[in-house]
Amino acid sequence: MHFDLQTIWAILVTILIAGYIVTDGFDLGVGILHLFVAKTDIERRVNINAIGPVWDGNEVWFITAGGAAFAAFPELYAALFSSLYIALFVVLLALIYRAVSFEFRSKEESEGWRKFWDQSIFWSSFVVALLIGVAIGNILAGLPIKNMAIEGNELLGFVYAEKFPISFINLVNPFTFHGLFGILVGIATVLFIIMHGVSWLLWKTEGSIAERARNIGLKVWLPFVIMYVVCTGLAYTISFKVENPELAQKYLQLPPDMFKQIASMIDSNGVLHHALFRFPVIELVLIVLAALSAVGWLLAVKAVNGAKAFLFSTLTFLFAGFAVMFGAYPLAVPSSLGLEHSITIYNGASSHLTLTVMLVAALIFTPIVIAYQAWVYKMFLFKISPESIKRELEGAEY
Amino acid sequence: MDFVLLVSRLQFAMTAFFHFIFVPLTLGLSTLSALMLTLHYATGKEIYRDMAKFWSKLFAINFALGVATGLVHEFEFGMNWSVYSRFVGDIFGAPLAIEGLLAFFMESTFMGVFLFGWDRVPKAVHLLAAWLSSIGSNLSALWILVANGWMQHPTGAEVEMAAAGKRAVMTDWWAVVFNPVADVKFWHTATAGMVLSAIFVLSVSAYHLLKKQNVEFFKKSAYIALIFGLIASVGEVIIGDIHAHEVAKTQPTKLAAMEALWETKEGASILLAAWADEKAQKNVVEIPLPIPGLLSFLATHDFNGKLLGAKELQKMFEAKFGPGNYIPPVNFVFWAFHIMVYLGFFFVLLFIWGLMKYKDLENANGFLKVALYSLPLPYIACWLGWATAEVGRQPWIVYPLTDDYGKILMPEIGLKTAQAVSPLTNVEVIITYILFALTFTGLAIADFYLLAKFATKGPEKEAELY
Repeated sequence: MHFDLQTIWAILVTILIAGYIVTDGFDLGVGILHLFVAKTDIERRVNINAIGPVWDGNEVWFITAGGAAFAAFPELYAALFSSLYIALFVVLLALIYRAVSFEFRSKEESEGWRKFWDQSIFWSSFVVALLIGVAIGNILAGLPIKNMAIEGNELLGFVYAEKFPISFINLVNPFTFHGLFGILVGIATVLFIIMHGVSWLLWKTEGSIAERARNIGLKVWLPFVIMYVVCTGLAYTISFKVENPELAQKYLQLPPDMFKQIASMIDSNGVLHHALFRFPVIELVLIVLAALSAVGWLLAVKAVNGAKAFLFSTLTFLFAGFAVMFGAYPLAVPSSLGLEHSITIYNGASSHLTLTVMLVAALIFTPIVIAYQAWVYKMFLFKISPESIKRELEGAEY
Repeated sequence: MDFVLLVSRLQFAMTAFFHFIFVPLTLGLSTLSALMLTLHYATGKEIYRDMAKFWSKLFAINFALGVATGLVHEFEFGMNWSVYSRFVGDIFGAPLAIEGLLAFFMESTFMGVFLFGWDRVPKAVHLLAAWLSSIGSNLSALWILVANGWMQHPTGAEVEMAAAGKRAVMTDWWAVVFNPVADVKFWHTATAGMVLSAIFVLSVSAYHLLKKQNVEFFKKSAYIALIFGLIASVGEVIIGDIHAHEVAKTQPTKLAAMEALWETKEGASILLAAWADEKAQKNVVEIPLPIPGLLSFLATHDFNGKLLGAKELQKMFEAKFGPGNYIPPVNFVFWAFHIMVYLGFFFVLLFIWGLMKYKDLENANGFLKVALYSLPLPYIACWLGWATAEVGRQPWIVYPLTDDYGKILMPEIGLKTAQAVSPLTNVEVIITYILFALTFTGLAIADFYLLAKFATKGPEKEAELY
């Protein structure tokens, strides 16, 4: 690890993505649980109002993470979103439907209208959670991207080289390793998001919804742990081939000692084994901490302690997320066509001036944002239940 | 034109079009709601509280789709314009990231407090939240227009060769932020949002006054809208003039198209209407305003100022950049710009008329009808403004940097729209285009339906719940 601007920004973007999963993650979880923890119309209103005042502010983490990736790692932003074109499109579509579902659902009395938006809340939340996982899995396993500068093109940058009519098919093709890995990480992500949603519902609601949420939480815990172990095990087997070390040295733009360290791990056939576990000690510590947090979560759910459950599901993701970041470091998007075509945090980064300006802005404003969001959360963390919502609807007074 | 390029352009235009149905109302109505809440807390009068509640409810319905379409907008840069994104990310990404960090968080977090905090949070906190949410909205406009202003006039940057190819890099952050084009664009957009919101409030109020429902409530609302709107619309016209002056300095081809100016002229006059034969490079119809030299004066602040015509500009650009068409579609840009300007003047007159009639507004049926049917006009004006700005810079996605006299200083930073598009397949772009079009259209219809439903209902007792 070097402690330079690019590394700081890799950590910051990871924090922003984690911020998204930790905040909007529980909204997605509540959305996935929507059809299962809430049966009557009043219960469904409770469920939506459990996240009512905060989901909008939470979604901004997604926008900000995207903006920060654009500003700090433009090559990554451009290559990733044009390569995962259809996948990201579906995520955006789902985010749109989710936003308007919350807003529209209770504004009409008709049963058909409400049923439609209830379904929309479930599907849109599920699809976002699944595809974020699929994308992360595919990126870790290596995307077929090419650095066109190596081919002599001055403008194109990193381009997705396997052009089917739709590149999306490759991402979820279970007969390829990266497709299978993508699907598995996707499932693990959905399970985690459900856990996180359960945490929130236990914290924010009482009565029938909290009870059902607890029961679901107890059911999904074991599948999540199994999926986490499976994904981690598979991640251990990920390796990258290096076709041309000289090109790699020239185009990855890593600091010389870092490149030497990685080069020393490439075997005689030009393969970098255990590519995501080059710092096994740190990796192991983080993975164990993530697992321990998951156990803490289970105990908290059993004890119906929402605040504790929320803390532990948050920690679970933070440890798992940083394990992924450290594992990939310094690669941002490894290329399956040869390591020399990869995007790293060095060749994908903006200039020093931009990174510095942005760092100043981030150091000043991120704490402020976290502070006022926490303050708003505190304000809205009173318990709601079907009874309390009923009272509010009946006693509505101007 | 290449199919992927064409569809990508159409898709981006469509997203902008939909996004800008919701944005201007968010900008202005957040301010108006905060203003009403301030009046309530200052005077203690219940009517202002009801007003803030009523208008902020409409605001919330509108806001959700603003966020949803904006989300698409941000990621479309990377999805459909990856070459552009990697080429300009060093500069263009920073304002977008800061927009999220500074503005969006503030706007949406405090909006939650404003909309759901009635009687739950202390009054001072509630009022502060309303204002912070409004400031957040307008700050987001500032940062996105810093980004857009840079595309039009790429200050504070140079071009270098990096590991993955040529790219623009930032040399001076403050030159990017205080880009004169960006700053005037911000004021132009912020006031546009205020004018649109004032007309929205006025129009909805007119509907109720025509029906004689809740007369006191909607008369007061209309009064606030009239005052607010008059200030904003006069400001809009003045800023618009400054804006056109900036365009004249930095984007000569855009100005030539906006004014259908083919020949280089000293003391050029303004055309009220024109139709150009773009192939023959001349105007078939011209109806000038009989004030000689006015256009030269507005553009250069000198009645005898020299304005470069499209023909000469085309030759200059060809000499610098090689063969190609460097003149945007003249008729389209001319009419988009001119109709926008005419609407701008109409709004000023509308507000003055309303204020003259104010004493007996509920019986001023003529005015109320005009106000009611004027609702779509500010929306159309906003779209035309963007059409002028974005079609007018074609064929460029990053306009080559000029000095203050329209002379090109940095040709290498210019990037053509045709070069900027992602290497996608036809199938990919057509799928997203059709599905976005269907989604946006469907949701916009649902949104209008709900807006109309709650706007025509009047202020009723309802819980602040989803």
